[in-house]
Amino acid sequence: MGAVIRNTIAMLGLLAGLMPLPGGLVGCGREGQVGEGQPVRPLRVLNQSEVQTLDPARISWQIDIRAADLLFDGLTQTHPRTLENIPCIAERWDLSEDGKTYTFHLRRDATWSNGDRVTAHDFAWSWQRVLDPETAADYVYLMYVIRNAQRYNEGRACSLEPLPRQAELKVKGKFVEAMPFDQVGIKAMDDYTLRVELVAALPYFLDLTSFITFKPVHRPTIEKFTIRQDGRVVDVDTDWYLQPGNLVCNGPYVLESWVQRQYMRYVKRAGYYDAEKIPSQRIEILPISDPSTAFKMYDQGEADIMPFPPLRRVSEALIRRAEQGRRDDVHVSLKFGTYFYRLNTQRKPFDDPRVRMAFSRAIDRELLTRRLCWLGEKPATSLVPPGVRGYESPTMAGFDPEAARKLLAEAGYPAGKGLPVVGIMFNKEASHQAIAESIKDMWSKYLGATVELLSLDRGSLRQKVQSLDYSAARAGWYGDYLDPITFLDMFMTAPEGGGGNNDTGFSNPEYDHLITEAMRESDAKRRNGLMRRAEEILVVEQLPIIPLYYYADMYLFRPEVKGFWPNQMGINPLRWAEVGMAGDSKQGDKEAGRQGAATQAKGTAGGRS
Amino acid sequence: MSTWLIRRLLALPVVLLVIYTVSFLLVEAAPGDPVLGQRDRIPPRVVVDRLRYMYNYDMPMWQRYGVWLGQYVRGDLGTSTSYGHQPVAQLVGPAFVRSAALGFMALALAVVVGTVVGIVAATHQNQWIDQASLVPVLLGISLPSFVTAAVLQILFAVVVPVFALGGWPDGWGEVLYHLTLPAIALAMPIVAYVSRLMRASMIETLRMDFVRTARAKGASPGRVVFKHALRNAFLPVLSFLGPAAAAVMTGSFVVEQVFRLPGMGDFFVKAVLDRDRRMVLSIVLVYAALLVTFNVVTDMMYGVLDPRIRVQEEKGAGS
Repeated sequence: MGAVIRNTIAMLGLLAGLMPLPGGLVGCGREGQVGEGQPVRPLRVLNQSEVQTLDPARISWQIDIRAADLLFDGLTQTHPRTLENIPCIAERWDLSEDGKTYTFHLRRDATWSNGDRVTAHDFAWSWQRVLDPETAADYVYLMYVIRNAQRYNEGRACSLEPLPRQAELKVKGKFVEAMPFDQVGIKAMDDYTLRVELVAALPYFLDLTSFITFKPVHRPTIEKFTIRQDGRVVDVDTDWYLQPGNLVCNGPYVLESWVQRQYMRYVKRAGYYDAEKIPSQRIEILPISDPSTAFKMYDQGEADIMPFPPLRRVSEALIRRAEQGRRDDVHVSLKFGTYFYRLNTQRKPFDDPRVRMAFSRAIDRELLTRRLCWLGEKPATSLVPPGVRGYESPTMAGFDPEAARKLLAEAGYPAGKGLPVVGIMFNKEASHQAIAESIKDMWSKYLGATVELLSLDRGSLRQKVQSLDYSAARAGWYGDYLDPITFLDMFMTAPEGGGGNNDTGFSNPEYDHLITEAMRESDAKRRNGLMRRAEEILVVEQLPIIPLYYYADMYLFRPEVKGFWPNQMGINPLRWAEVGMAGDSKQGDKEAGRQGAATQAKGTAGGRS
Repeated sequence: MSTWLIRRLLALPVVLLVIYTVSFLLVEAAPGDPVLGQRDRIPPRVVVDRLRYMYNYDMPMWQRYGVWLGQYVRGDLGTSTSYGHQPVAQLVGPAFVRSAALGFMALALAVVVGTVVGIVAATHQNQWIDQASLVPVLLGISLPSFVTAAVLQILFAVVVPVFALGGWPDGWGEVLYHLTLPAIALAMPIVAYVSRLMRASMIETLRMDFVRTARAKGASPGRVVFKHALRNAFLPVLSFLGPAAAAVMTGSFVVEQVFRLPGMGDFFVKAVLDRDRRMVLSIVLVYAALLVTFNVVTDMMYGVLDPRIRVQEEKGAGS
């Protein structure tokens, strides 16, 4: 039924969206033109759904990051065109010889929206807040790269447990003693100097300091809204950001008004230190969860940027038009993310690496992506997608049915005889279903396997996968930062390793050792070597997972939009974006990395996790 | 009447308690982890444990049942797990007002149009006008709202752009511009039902003795229909309108999605998908409270419209 509704809406959307429209595609906002050559109206950006939180410590979704990035500045920021980390609140930084200690020197003219100065103490306090278990920050683990941060976090959590539970943890040897925060490698040396000591020399640490979790919040505001019970912190009243009048921020914009599930209206902040580089006076974020409606709005000129694809048929039609040179607002880019299947290595038949290898080699990834993906996804040859400077993934064995059958026979299942029924679980979505059906056909045809498909909602799938109650299950992973470790540490032995996301039962001492060493290693070349060997174990030798393809994504934005650059990391800050007059796009946007739609449209994109 | 009303009002908390209990058990039985929602990646154990504590999932089910019940009695709808710890009342409150406003518009439209169409069809029984009235009825009943909504949108917001493509009005001046199309989409199936009920009921009423008497006394056809027959003929429509009002005023997921109206429907569906148990329970309870209230109001309206029912009630109460 859901599919019928979606398809009907898609077709109607296609009709509505692609038919010639009165007035063409030029935006027609309500606000009038300010002056010739000036931005005529706010930049209007669609978001896939309503923002869940604007608290940087608690944000874990891309939609929230998009909205909060306009309000909060971190030490550094990742430029969306080059993916380089450039100064933000920190105007410069020093790195110690061993690569483990960063000293950030903060600019002195940065202020909060209430006029308070932004200081190193704000960062130290905000980072401590992320590490405090009461905050329940999803991305707290990103801070575990800081010396003693994990111990502080876990120790505080243990100390908050009721006494009987503490005793139970002590018996199990899982009790972590609380440690004072001054032993954590975060120290405000003075108002404008922040020193951060890491557990190892990490080439990606500045990616982290640009990330939302590492952005500061205004301490007096948070303290004012903290809810306490018997002297203990229970939660923070969300009114601190839900009511724009309460929200004190340090970014280029302030939130002027927010009507939930209608719009968020931002206005450029007068006292912002870098105001001249912020081109748009006003920005509106419009949450539209129905892709068909979103596309209609975009095509009717009610929005300037649609940073997610419309429904499949519309996307395909748009890509075709872009390839024919009939649209110049369609942009597709490969992502730092991989679509893969997890295999349960604790359950027959996937407890044998030869069987896992056989099932992987029986999949024609070229055919899969050509037939079932539509945004330019590339067949995977490894887990870590290409694009990390200095790192080259090992290439896994490709499609070879003959070799697959041989491996299966060696494992004791000649022509699939004796193979138990293999179940593929996936979360309900048409694209996942189509891929699962295709793989089922390939496994049946080439290996003689009996395959069953099971479609579950996302929560149930996660529960099944976590409890290892499955044979094969769909998964997807986007890297948090541009480094292989964001993919590879996931498959360290659970439960200590893997951050709770291993979910395959895979455990390999050599792999664990290599990843641990890579996390400690300062020499980039050696570190890459360690990671490459680890990935080799993962995708060439052991295969607890079967990588299928690298994700791609589609963005629609008008030619007159400047300063918006799609990239592999999905980092699309709006702070540098503006909507100019039609035809202005040539002026400053040539280097925008906006490869022509036609070129990009050749790289497709498709299934979204 | 007052005794009857007090009895009905006293039953309200009992009905809500039963609905709360059944709904609580159902959401508890649903698979999926309520604190992890739609997350693909699992946060560290420290975070998951804290989330469980914040949302009372660190306690046994029966204890949680009691804690939440206590909160509902105090009027506290709890905290949403899927909307970053926001209070459910704060999320659902404005959404409910919007859905109710749109629902009221749709209902008013449906009652007026449905009643007129029904009366016209009944007074011209088996004539061409009666047959023609079947067309909108059949369309209203057979076309699902996601189709009517999208077609209306394309016709009147894209091809002939007289109404808004979607969105909630910014002020009173924009109400008709923004809400006409969604109100029509929402009203169409109700128009169909109301007009059919009205037609059947009116035909039957027009054959009754008191109508014949009115005609014999020389009352004009209009007076016969509107003064004498309409009150009686409206009763079946009224019994349909009670639950229909509750349903339409608590939001339609599809119509709200297509016209991007921030009402209750979207919240409810998303809450189910997100395993946001508190949100689901709270919306169910709001819906149940409305349904029960509208049923009481409907029963009261029977008495107003039909004196015979009022008399029977009074006799029953007196005996």
